Amino acid sequence: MAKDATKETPLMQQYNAIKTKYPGALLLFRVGDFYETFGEDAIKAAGILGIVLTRRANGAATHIELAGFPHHSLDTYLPKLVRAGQRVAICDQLEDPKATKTIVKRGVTELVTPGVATSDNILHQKSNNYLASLYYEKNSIGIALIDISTGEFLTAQGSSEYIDKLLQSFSPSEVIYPKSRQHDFKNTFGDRFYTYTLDEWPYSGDYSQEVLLKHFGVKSLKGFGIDKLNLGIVAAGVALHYLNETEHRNLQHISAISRIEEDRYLWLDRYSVRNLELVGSVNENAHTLVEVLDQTCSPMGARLLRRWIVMPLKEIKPINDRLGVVEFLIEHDELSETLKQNIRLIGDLERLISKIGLQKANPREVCQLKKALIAIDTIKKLGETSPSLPLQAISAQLNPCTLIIEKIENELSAEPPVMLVKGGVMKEGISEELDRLRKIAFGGKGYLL
Amino acid sequence: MEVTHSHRDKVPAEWIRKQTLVNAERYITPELKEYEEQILGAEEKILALETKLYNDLVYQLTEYIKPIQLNAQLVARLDVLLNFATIAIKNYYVKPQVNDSRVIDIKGGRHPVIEKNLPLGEEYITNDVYLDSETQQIIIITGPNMAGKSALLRQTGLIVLMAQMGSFVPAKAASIGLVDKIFTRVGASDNLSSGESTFMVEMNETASILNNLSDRSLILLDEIGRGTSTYDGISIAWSIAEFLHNQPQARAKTLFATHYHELNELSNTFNRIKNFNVSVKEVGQQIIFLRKLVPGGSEHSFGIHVAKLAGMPQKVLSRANEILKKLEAERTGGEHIKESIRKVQKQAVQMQMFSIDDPVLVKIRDTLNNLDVNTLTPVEALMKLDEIQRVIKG
Repeated sequence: MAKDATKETPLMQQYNAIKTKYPGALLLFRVGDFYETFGEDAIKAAGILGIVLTRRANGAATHIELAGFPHHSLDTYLPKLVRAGQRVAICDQLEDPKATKTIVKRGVTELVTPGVATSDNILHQKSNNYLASLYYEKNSIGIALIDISTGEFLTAQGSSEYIDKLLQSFSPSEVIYPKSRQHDFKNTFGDRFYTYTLDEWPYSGDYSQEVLLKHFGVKSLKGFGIDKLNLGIVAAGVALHYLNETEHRNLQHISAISRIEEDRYLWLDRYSVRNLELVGSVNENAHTLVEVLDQTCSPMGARLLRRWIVMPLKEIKPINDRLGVVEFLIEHDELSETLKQNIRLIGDLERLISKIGLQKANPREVCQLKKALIAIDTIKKLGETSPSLPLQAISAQLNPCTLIIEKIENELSAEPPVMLVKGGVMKEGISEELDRLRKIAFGGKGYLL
Repeated sequence: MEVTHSHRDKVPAEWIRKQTLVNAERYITPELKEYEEQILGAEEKILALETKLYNDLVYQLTEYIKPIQLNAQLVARLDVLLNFATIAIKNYYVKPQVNDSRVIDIKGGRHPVIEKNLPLGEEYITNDVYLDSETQQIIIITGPNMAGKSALLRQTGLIVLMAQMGSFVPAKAASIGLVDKIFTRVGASDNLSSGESTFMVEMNETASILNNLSDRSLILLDEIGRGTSTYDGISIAWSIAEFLHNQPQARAKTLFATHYHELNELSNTFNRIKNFNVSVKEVGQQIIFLRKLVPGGSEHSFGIHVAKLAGMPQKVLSRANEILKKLEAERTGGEHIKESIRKVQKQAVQMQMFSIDDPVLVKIRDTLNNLDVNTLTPVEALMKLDEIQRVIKG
């Protein structure tokens, strides 16, 4: 074995070192302008993506399979791999190749799994993409649901029937749970979900509670109303831990965690969601309630509608409050139309601000943020002057963040490109150095003359 | 700079020749060369600087994550309420009255999804449904398959759900006494692939309903007991209906669609169980689905008629009719099973005296447990027997 190791190229040594850190994941290894896969990964990738599988010499007398694609096609190929159920580790070059004499440093910048996805190409606009984390103890199960693309973080605990119902309602795209419980899980929930099992250690002791306290920067979870849910807390802490393990560090947009208040909602048993064909059905071609009801103007509204459908209320006052607003809006159709037009301008603000938190927002998206806030300002003014108390209440809470509007207006160019590297992103007049450099670069002819 | 060959000797010494063309030479001066380098350098620096400035801007925005998230939630809420208004107008929904009574009273109810997917020209046939906990708690709905029983069950569930979601509903009028749980059981098998039989799965699921009942539950049962023999199926469906009727703490409102018209007998014994059927008109050899819910049980199963609609060969149908007549004659006009049911109902009353949580039984059990047979004298044993007998006699 030692003999082979010395015959391995430095590149492959680096590759293997990284590969061992991410078992079970398909490794996309950036080499120059390409993402390459090797060995078993290459065979899998070639099969899923329909790319060419070749071989390459690996040291003396051995060969290794190889399959790759250009780095700018990542957005096309990554979703296909994830949808095929693969966990994908993206390994980039961490420094400029020209800057180093030895092999360039590489590291995994993101581990993408079905439940931890931030790319628009993997996500569906009208539905959340939840990661569910389960923790078992005797007869109760704690559950946490987290959507990294919207920042939503929920927790609950209860009997396996209750958890089954929640899994039905929230339809997570990935469920994680302790390895030791594989048998129980398969018995209760079958094979319906994409799952991943974790070792015991993150579930033990105070680890998960510490993770949560540290992330939110608080001394106690009482403020979130979840301190009594000891099973839910473990599940939630492990969920955050899992996000960290998949290299997602900028998680400020996950700014709160809340308890799913069982007693506030009409209980639909685990078959009702399916039998009543609310959001999905046994039949692939069946029409669902949500299809008929969805005429929303924003993706956030579409997602909230789905939530309201599987969690109807159980208290008379809030039900009648909602009905009252609906009645008011029906009677004031002009106001309603204007409100709808403005909501359409807002787009998916929830996912947008999450991208800003993840530091993955492009200049055009930041510009969209400005437009959204301006529309919110309009809505606020409309609601404040309306005769409906609930509308006034909503308006009172809206915050157009005028400082941000101004800041973006002043600093970002009016029609920025999507990609930062295209240039022309920042406005003139905010940085002397930038203005000077631009004059040189683009004012060439004038300079000459 | 380009210089034609004719002027070549005028070129100053510092100029560096860069490119030779057919008619001319191109030169670059050291200053120009320096300038060229400056431009390239500037482009790189611009990218680096813009990136830094942009990232600074984005970083500053992260301070506002919380208020913007709140905005997003408020806008989503407003969007959904506007959405409800839009669909109420578009689909002719009406405002439901949600109160804390125990009555569900729907007039002219429609199925919100089916009504939108009907073939052109066909109108959805509306129906009234009334359920309460005093007079009409459980409705047994009989009638042929395809006549609309399932749709009726589902539309009732959906109307309650939509009302409690804060949306207007597809009906002429709806008064909904708050429901806290909805249970549905549709006879189709969900877990066949895991090796369990339909019947086993059904029993598991139905047991879970019976163990989780509440006073404000709404239960929708569609064809319970289908996966097994007729006697078993009827017996189980019957005892479930009885159980639901007799819970003093939880008079769950129930719509029970079934093809066992024998269950119509239940309304004779239990005063809050009522029979309805989905009306069908026989015109000669044809049947027409009227899809209207009308009071009363139904006499036939119309199974053979449905087979005809499905396109069964005429030979099969005529033979089926012959066999049916024979069987009905043997069953003395269907009275056989009903007679058995009545007998069993009488026995059930007696059986209740020996129910498992009867305090009498508990007392006897405890008495027996405390006996030490090894030390009992015959006389003591006889006295214990006497004691037990007295406990039974009450």
